[in-house]
Amino acid sequence: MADIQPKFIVGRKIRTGRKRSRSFWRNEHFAGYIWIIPAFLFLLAMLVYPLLYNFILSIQDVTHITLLRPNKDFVGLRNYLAVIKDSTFPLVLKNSFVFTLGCIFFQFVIGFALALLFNLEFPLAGTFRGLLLVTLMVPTVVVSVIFRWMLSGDYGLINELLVWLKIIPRGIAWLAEPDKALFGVMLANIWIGISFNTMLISPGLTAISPQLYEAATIDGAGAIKKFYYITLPLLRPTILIVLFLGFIYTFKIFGLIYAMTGGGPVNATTVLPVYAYKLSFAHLNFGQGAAANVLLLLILFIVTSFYLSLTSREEMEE
Amino acid sequence: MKKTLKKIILMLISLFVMVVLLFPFYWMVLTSVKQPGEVVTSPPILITTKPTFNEYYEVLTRLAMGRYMRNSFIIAFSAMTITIILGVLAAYGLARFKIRGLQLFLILLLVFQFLPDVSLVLPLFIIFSKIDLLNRYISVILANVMQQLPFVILILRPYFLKIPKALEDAARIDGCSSGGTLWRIIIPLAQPGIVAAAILTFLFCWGEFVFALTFLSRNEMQPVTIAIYNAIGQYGIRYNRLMASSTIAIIPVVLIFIFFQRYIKGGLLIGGLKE
Repeated sequence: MADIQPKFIVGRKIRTGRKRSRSFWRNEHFAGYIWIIPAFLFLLAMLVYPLLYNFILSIQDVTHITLLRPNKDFVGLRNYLAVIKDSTFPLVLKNSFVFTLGCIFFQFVIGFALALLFNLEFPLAGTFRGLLLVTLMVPTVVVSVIFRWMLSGDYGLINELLVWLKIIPRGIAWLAEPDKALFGVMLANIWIGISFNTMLISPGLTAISPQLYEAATIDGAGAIKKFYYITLPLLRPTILIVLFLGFIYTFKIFGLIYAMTGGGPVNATTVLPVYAYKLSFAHLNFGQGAAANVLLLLILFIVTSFYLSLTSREEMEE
Repeated sequence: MKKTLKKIILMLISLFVMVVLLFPFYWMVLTSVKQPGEVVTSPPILITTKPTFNEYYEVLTRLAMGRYMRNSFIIAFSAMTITIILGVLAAYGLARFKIRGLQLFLILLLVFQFLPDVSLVLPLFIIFSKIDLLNRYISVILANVMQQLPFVILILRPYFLKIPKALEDAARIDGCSSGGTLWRIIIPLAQPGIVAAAILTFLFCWGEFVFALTFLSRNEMQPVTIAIYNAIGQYGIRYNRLMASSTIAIIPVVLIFIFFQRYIKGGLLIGGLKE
């Protein structure tokens, strides 16, 4: 599974540094570091260092020929220029944003609707909500093969259904036609993302006090008004975080697409992570692959900063 | 009366939604047990009267699916063990002691989860090739630990914060060392959190794709995700075989999900949006 791991949720309660009297301080100060040093060193060696190393690779001439040389030529921004000027790069960016925004839109709307549905009181509501999580736990490559089969041009289930409903006259090779393939991979990812959105929105809905709705009912508000004036405003922080995380986790998706289409046909489904991976491991141009990685990180960094500044500004206004 | 009717209608709607959403899994299992002639048909056959397990036999013998499953297990289990050990220690330290730069450390752990695996696979590949770790399980295990550790520390810390400090002080007074306190008091009390973290780590590592794809080129070392990926190329449109491999690959996921569902839910929703 991997690509959209619902991990972050943990993040919000983290601001609870313990307060302790000063006399304890010195003693426990050092004791604390001993516990975190193993993890700290591990992440330093396996995560921070590789990230810095990636940056260094991006300004060097690194191909399969020069890879094992001790000293590689410094090339400045030449790798970046090569990536940006590449004729497929605009298409890659477009694919990335269409894929990400398209997926977010549908999985958010459907996920929100399901969260609303499962928030109502009826037997098995909790079971259904729990069952949804299974789609997040399944390895993405399994999702890839299932949807390859369902989207197949010959005898694929989705084509059979659409033809039977007379929506299309005959089967479409969803993953083989350049103008349709991106929709094909989006469908698979939306399917995963629905559960992700429902899972994150549900607790926010449960947290809204039923008394608010009761009061609104007494005042004569209908379902739509209640949704618009109570649910949406109270859910705003949840919605923002869901959309933000949705963007980050969708923008960096690699495995699902790579296993479904390999980025093809003719780059129709090549998003930025797939592009960066193929520069490195298909074209063996590691320097350019590293530069594409940095560009990917840069986009994620900009989006993260935007989200953080938005939420911190709102917190200050409150 | 009206209320009961409404509830039944809601339940039926939800049931329909769930059937649609979970249909791909049904289709996977169904395709895997269909007779060869029933797989590609128009209109599609939605139920099979005489299921066959022939493809499972083929996949387990000819495709050596058992070996790939074993490889996945070795990788996921080792990564889980290392992650939990490092994670428990760090989460305990971050929960119990005054750490300078605590905020920064926690924010970094949060941000580390936003990093694309693709951005780390290239530098790690080059580093591992230099120190000769490619085509060894340890390369993928280390990469998996790296990817899961920030998450594990963040979900464990709230569990440790919830344990009353007084219990620890009591243990100290009774002569327990700080290691002993962790082992005898803290870990048993934080057990639901640790189980949740361990399960999620195992499942994420079980499904991991890009590190294994890149670091393990030797067929006999590859995990089940890569075996399925390779089977796409090999068996292209023999969908019953592909679906049989996929079904086998998710059996452990489903079992874990059935037995540990409440832990999974708790782990995913810890803190955070539940406020």
